Amino acid sequence: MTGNLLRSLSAGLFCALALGMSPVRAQTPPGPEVCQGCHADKVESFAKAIHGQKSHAKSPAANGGCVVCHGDGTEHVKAGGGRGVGGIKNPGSKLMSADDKNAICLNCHRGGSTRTHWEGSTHQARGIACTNCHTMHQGPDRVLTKVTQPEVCFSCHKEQRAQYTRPSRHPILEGKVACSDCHNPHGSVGPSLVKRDSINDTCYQCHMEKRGPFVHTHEPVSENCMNCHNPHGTVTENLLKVRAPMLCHQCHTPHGPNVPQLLGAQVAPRTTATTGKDAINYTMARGCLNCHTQVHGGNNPTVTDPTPQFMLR
Amino acid sequence: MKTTQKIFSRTAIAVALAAAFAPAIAQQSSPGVNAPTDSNVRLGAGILSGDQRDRTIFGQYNGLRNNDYNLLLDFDYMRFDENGMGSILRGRNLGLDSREASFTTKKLGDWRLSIDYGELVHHEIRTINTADGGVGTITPQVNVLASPLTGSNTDLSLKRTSLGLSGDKWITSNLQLEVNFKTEDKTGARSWGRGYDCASYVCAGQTATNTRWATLYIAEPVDANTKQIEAKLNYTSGKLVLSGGYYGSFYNNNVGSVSPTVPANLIGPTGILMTTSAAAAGGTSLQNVLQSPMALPPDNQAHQFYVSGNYAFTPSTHSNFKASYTRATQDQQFAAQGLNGAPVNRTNLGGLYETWLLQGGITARPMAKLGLNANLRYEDRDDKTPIDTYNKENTATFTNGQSSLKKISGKAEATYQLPFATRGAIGVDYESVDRGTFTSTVALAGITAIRQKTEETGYFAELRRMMAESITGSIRYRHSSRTGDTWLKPNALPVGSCVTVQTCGVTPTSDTAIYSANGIFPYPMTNRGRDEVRATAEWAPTDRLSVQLVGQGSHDAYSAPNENRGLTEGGTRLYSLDVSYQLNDNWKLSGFASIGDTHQTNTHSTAYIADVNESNKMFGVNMAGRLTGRLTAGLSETFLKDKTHYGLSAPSGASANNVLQNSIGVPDVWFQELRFNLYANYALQKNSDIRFDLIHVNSFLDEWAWQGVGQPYFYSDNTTVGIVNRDQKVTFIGASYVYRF
Repeated sequence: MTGNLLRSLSAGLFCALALGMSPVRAQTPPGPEVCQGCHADKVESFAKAIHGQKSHAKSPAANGGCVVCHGDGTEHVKAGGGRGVGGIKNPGSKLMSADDKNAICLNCHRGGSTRTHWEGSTHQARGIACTNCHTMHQGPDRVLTKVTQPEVCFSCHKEQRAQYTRPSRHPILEGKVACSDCHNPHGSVGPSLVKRDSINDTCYQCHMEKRGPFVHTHEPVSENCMNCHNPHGTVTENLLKVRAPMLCHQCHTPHGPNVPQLLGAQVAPRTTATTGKDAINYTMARGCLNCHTQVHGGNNPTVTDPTPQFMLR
Repeated sequence: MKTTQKIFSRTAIAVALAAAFAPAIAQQSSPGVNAPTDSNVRLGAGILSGDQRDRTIFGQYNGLRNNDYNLLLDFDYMRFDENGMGSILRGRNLGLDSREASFTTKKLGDWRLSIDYGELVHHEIRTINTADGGVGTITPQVNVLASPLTGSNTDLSLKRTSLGLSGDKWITSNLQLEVNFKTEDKTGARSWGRGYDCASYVCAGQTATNTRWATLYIAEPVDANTKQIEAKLNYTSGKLVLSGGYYGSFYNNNVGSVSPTVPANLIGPTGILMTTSAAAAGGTSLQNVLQSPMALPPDNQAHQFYVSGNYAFTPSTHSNFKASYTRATQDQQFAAQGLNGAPVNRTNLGGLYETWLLQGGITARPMAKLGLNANLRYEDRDDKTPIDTYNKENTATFTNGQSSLKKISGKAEATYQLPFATRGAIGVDYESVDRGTFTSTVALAGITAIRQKTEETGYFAELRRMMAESITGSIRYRHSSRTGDTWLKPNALPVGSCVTVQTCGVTPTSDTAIYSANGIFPYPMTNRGRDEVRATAEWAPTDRLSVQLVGQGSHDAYSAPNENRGLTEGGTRLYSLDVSYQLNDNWKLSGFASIGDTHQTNTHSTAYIADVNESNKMFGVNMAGRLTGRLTAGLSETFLKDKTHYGLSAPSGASANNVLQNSIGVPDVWFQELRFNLYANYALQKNSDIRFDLIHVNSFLDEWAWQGVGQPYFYSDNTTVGIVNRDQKVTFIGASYVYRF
């Protein structure tokens, strides 16, 4: 009797083990309920984040959980865990290639209109991984919030970090404009990953009055705003790269050989005979723009002398 | 390359400053969808030191300039049910003039509808001292002050008020519709001006009592609306991602022109009241010129249709592409702008830009170690604006021009995996710019020559080590060379009409023949050799410590037929060090320091050489952590010191007077800013905190644009502009209650 019972139990145990190790069971990798045994904090943050919402039909939670990003953890669990053990994938690891990391993310995030030009983009070509900017397990993704996004970008773009606190700037410091208002870090057809198709088209999103066409066109303006401006911040008003007249003298030669000078610091102070095209008027205040006010282009059509040519009115 | 998880706040003070007025959620750990801490409200008050002119730099955007006492109110409300249906309601800076709010309702993975509202005021940091009336209107009245700085102070600001509507819906599992709409009103005024020095055929010349020129401070009135709408369909299948849609943008200006009222007597060059010049024969008086309408930006609109996509031939071989057509028009009626005197039968410009963009690219990994990447971009903006005779200069008349632009650019790169976790990359890139045939009926002036075409070819090499635990880094070098076709010399202004005489426009001229010792050739068109280098290194010996070093530099050498005029040289340098250290589970420490400069050498005619060098030093430290179970705190500080040195010197051929003037030069421009932030957060209960903020900002701006040596720049009505307090020290103390639910 006892022998029969033992034989029956042994057979049952064997069957159970066999079933447990059958191919059918092997196709169901361990889920969050297993992973949390060792990775409780990760599973907890996963559960709170968008990835962890089963109500989202396309979320990892609704499609197997941890396995979606980390691969089948069966062997990893069997081996008792460990970094990389059992072929477990860790997109946060430095030892995984950017392309391999990104392939995991793009498996779900390839669609939509903003990532069509990821491949070939500067970030992709330089080996940037999604995990360099995005966080999946640590609170709100800092790159998705305007206030904190620049901090993420500045981890590589140091030059811009030194520029964005200058007095002439966009309201990046205040979290009202973020890098992604002008750039698409996932790739674009414009230079410097600008959001629209060109630098000017990107600037026109907020500065549409500069688009024209105008009766009197200033060609470098319609060619590239950055011929004169540095959008990341300058000490000169209106984000100008350098103050007039030096800026204007990079292209123009008018008004004779005058040296930039200040009132009270002139070799030859002004007299009543001083004409308007003196060095003070194109050095101080708005510089050349004291008279050439329509530097972005003017739409005054009058043909009465003096006509508004030379961006005058 | 560094992952952000290990990077502590390197712009901590910036974040802290913004976070002082951002939702409490920013300081919480791990909130997300459905988390009970996702909803919260913050209510508090803050007090500022000084008055509104003591904090013009600090308060130019953050809503903290005008009021000494401020309401701090932010909230987040987020609820989702088990079916993924939910809503998010957010409010930021609601007690300030930078307030914003949004509401989103959505079903996760299915559809979303959002509405957002925002206000943002930009306060100009400089104050105007004037007797003028109607500042910032379309009919300003210029009044002469007896002496500078005796008028009343006026501050300008621009307010943007925006409303956005957006939504998306997955129509099928592969097809998504996205719609975005934004309307924004922009009102207020900004710095502008009006100046004119009469040509002899316009008004009488300069005498001891009569001035033929004037400069006036006129504020540009702004009352405009922009609208943007974008609707697109996104299709995703196994290999193909396709997106096609429409993007329209519309600018509508409620003000068309400015017509100042100007007195007959204005301040002359020496500061005394003078009579403005009377009309010359066939001309008009200076007063009339100054009172003539000034155009404001006209209405314009653009419509773009596009299709873009990505196709995966294999998992490692992708192509992407984009094609778009844009039609941008500007046909505002001149009369509606208050602008008269247009050419006969011309009621509006009829401006039209038609732009085609075609782009294609491919990336592939034909071998495990080899990666390839190439793309080509073609953009053709065809200016179809009608030509008409808008310009008259004494007896000569000429037309407006057309500014078409054709750009072709492309690149090809290859990367190869080398030993020691190192990857090598090489590549070439190319860009050509064709500005089209110059309009033959235009009389070009103020410029030595132009070029129709320029092209730039570059190449680069890079080594990077990335897949390593403790030491990673990269070094990259790029060189490019820009050249162009034959220079085009402006023809002399004819007697009569350019349309009938046909001797206007430009003439192709050899470098030798076009050589002018004093001429300046526009820098976007000159030859340029550019060298760029960037090196990065990152050392993370433990999980707690990370050190990052970056060094980069560039050098531009410009050359034109005369090689030593105009912009001849430029460059940048930057070195930075970032360190972060996790002291323990409760405390993080980080810091950075950077030093950089930008320089350019510009030579004007026989007058001066400006060797402009802008150098900056910046450092920051940040410490944040938990003091007790209930008390968390953070401390951060950044300091920026920026100096612009203008380095004036005399070029060969300068007059004795100019040699002396160059030796006087102009002072350096200084900007210095210290930002200090301290916050503490005390948990009253599990769901409520008390938060305390102390922010101190010291901004110092010493510039000479508006202030000479001992005397300010005075306009012809003695209006002056400047920063009332150039050394601004602002302290903010705030306390708020945070409740999470």
